[in-house]
Amino acid sequence: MSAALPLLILGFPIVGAVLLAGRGWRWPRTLTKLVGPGAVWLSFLVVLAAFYTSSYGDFTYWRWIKSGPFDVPMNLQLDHLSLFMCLVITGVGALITTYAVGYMGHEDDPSYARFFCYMDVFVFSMLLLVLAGNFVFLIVGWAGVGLSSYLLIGFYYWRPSAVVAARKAFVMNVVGDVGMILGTFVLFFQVHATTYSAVFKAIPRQDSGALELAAFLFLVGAIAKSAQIPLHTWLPDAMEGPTPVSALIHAATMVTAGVYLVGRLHPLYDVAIYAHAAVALIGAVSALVAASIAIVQTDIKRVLAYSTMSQIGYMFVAVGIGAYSAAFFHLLAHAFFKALLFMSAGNVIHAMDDNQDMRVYGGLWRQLRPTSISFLVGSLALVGVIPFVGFWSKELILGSAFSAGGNPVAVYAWGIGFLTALLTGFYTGRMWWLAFWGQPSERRPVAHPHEAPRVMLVPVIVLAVLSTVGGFIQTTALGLGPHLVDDFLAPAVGVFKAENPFALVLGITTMLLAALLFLTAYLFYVPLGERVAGFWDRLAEVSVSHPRPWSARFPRLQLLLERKLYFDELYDAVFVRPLDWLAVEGERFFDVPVVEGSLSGVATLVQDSAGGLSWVENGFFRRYALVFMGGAVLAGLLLVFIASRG
Amino acid sequence: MISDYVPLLIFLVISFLVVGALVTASFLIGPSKPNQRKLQVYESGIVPTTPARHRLSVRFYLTAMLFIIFDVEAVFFYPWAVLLHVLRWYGIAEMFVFMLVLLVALAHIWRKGGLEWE
Amino acid sequence: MVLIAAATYSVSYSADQAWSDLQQVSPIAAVVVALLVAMVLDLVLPRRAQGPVSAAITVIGLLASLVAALLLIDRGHTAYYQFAVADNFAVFFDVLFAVLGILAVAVSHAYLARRNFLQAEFYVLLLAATAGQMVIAQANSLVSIFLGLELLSIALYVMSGFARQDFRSQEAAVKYLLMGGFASAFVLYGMALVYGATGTTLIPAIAKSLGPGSSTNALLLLGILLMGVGFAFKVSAAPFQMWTPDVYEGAPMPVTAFMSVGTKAAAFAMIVRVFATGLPGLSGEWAALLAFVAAASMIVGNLAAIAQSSVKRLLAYSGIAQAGYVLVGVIAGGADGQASVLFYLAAYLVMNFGAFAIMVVLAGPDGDRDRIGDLDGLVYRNPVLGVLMTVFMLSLAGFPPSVGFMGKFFLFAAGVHHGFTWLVVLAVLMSVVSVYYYFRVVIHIWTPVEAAERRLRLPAAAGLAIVAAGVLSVALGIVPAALFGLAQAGAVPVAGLGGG
Repeated sequence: MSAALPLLILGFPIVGAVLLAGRGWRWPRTLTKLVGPGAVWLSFLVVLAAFYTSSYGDFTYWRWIKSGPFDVPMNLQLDHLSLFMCLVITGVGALITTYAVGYMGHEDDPSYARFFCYMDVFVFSMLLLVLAGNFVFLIVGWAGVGLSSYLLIGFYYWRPSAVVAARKAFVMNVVGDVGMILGTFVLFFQVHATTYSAVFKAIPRQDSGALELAAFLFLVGAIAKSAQIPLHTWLPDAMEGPTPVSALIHAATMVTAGVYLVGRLHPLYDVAIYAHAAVALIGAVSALVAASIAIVQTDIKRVLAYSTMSQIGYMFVAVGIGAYSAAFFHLLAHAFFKALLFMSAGNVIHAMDDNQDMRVYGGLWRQLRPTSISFLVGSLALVGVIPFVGFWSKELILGSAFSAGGNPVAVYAWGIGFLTALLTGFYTGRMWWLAFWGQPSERRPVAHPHEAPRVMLVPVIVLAVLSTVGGFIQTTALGLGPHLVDDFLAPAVGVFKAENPFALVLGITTMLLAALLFLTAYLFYVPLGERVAGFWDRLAEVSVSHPRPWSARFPRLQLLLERKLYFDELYDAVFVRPLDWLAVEGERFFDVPVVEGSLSGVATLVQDSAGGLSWVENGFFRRYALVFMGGAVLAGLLLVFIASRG
Repeated sequence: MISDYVPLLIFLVISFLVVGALVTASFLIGPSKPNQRKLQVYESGIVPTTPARHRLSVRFYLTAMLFIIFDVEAVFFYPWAVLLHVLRWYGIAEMFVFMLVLLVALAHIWRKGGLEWE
Repeated sequence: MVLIAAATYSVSYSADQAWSDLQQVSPIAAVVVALLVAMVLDLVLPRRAQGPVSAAITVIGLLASLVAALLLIDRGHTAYYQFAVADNFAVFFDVLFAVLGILAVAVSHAYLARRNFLQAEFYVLLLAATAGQMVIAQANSLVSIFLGLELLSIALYVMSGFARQDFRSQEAAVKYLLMGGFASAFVLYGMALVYGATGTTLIPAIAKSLGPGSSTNALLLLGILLMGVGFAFKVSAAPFQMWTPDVYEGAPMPVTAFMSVGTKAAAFAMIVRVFATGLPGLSGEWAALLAFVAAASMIVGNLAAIAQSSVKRLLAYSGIAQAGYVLVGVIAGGADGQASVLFYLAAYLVMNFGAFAIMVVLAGPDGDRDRIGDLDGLVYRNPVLGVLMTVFMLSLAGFPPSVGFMGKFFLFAAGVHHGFTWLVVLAVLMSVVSVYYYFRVVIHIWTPVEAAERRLRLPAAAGLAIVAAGVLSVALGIVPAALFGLAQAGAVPVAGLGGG
């Protein structure tokens, strides 16, 4: 019975996708509404059933390939880690697909069905990724989420920018896929096995050089998928996709696959210490860089995208120092509050006629109250204000990093993480005050926006509640209370032991500073005349009436950040242009004369079309017979050569 | 192994040489006095009325092929007859099956008009 | 002379022996009986009833043959003085050919009616060709192999020219006849030389007669050369492939579908039987010859396919390339190499026949619609056909999780395992090239067309066959173990007798 559960979990989304792909564009829309999210909901129910019945195990269904030592069974591994991920994917996924029923309402029927078809494909691929019991199916799922991400970013395929963004995401992800595949090769050459259980069993006996190599190759895959430096540039552009996509794929689930990968391969990373340290460092740097770039972005979804990258940086720090359950707790928390932020932002964008520039919003607090409250909840969770879920998870990571004695990387990671927390407070504040406070902008596209329909509000409110109270399942960040996530994940990833006498002080300090910066943003981004009279105003008057924008003082810094540290330009100069040049020159000097020459040469030689004059395939029997004889003579000469040599 | 065939080769070479020598000799020695009448085309002493490469009716080929098919199948009876005393009743039965197949084929040709000239 | 032989050669042939021998060839017998019945009924039935009745008898005969073959699994032995054999290798091919025949009937039925062809004759010829294929599969002697080869070929010559009003069909038949005769002569001459060198036509006996000096025996080497050339012709491998595009293009579509799989599989049965089983001691020589042919096929087939605008010709060249891939498995040899060959041929049956079957459905009353543009918007005209054609193309291109991928995987794994890495590298590179032209077809399938375009009706029998092929193309890629187990079982006796 329990062996059937993983199949059911995978089965519902893929059946939904096939149904939608097959008949979706002819169906009445109601049916699409039922099948699209319904498949994910059913899958979620099965996950819950597995959760309550504790149906763990490594189920082998059949042997896919057996060729010499290369043995790939079709096995699915339902352990605490994959079940945890399945809960996040299907739970948040079900809420977001339900939300999309309203959000995508403007689309025509074929596009509507297409959207849910892609979403179901994504959920299936992501579930396969986490349920896979061996590296081959891990890669299949890995590539599958890359594909569905590509399809969904390019969902509005008539928009050139969407197509370019989709292609960019795909190319970056393929770089990661190659890393994954090479990493699997290295492991296979070392231990001649493809299943997790066999590989992990063999790891202690292996040469650590090869393990480091494999771990670094997998890290390439992880950072490409999770948009960490230096393979992060696709994520902001990926916001070209519809907002539910950004919420599900580019915030809650797919981009956290890298965290899952490191967690899943923790026996490898525990041995490969250099690669493991690199994980933490890359995470820390990504967190800081992304948070600083987020300060100057004006597109609300792009701010959220950089914030996602920054938060995943935290998770990388956590897995990088071995605090796996802290990472997965933050993954869960982030799935709640970032999906919440994206969906609230989606409500706003919906109300604003698809304009995403938050400088032209303003004053939404009074007009879109439920959405505004939800967004505020998400923002506070992101900043890490007690008691929202983000506080507990982020402080747990920072506390773990601070107190991971004997790990030199962890201390630096903590320092960077601390700085990032402050920046997070500031950019979140900027986003909040700019978009929702003050007076409506004169450039606002819609003067009297309408609140979103109920189907879009309910999932948002559910997530808002979860973001508010979800943190109480694990409050070890303050050294107290329950630690359900630790307990749940302990069988899969072990327990991270770190004594932290300053946990309480550190956590509260970080929170207070971040919250202060959140409030400071008010002074920067709400014009003096638009401030609501009250406590904050008096406070502001005391300190500084309306500070000159910081960017005016540091124009170069602002430009640097607005250009996203010139990563795109750098890649353009280092990869795109040389490759373009190589392609052009290659076409001129190699492709046209050699490849095309030989191709068209052979083609004309053998082609028949339109009575083309060709030497061999000219339709005449005598020529065929001649070639036949010629071939026989050649074969004879070859045989004589072989015989004379042997 | 190959050396076994050397006599054959010698025989071939000699025959080519002899024939070649005879033809060449008659060409060289023989008198050659062509005139109008000698060079005229003729066939069995009669001046031909139609070109030599004229087409035959396809029915001719069809009939010829059918004849050859059944003719060749009939050859199969000889080895069968030789071994009949060994094969006994099984051989008889087998031959009837064989003939049955032939008969079906014949009936098919007949019925489909393969034996009609027009 | 004959009399003396009969007198000194004490032969006893009991009825029990006769019955047991007949059992061993019962798959062939079932087909032949069906053939005779169909022929006779064709003569007595009214013209209108001939088509359905012949089709029914053909299917019944083929089903009986299929059952007979399945009953022989693990129970076969040699029969008729080792003239025939029913080992699992033979049984595997018997099953394959029976299935192919049934699929061909399902696909042809509506086509024949639409194009107003003679129906009974078509089925009789189909049965004759199937019988020929099965004789090749069960042959254990050079003579019986040649017998099957001719039975298959002559039936196919006639079937190629079955569109009697179509000039191209006539041309195809004549070309095929001439080239086929040419190749048969090569095969026969090669067999004669091998007989001359070894003194026997029985394949196991040939294998036993080989000794250390065999590799310098000029007669044997020449025999291998001539047979190899003839076999390469039959699998349509370069440089003996010229007939393939012309004949595929000219022949009516169901015939092309049938022979694209049938001749290839039969010829591979022949190659494995004669070379791997009969001449294991000379594997270096014939493997070199086949490696040359395989490399040429992969290059010529894949490059030439790029330039084609006719789907039939495209699939013809793709078939040439596929023959090259399968040869990799033959060259690799061993149990795994032969199993991979059997697996791939079964895979080729479902995916290639499926692709051709869809083209059969597309044909109009006046002729085949085989320009690549005729596929435009297929998925909108008939989603089932469009999706399945895509599946077949992806499978032929070797995309996971299709059966084509698994087939190529096994072939290439065997190739690498037995040290033919250079050939496998070439094969993989050429597979990459092949993606280009298979995707051209896919692009046409998914190109939107005017809404006015008529929806395509799918005859029930053909639809069933195509869907079955499509489902198998995917299912056998996901669960290949079932088929691969059969393929391994089929490979064992051949390899056990001393496979290369």
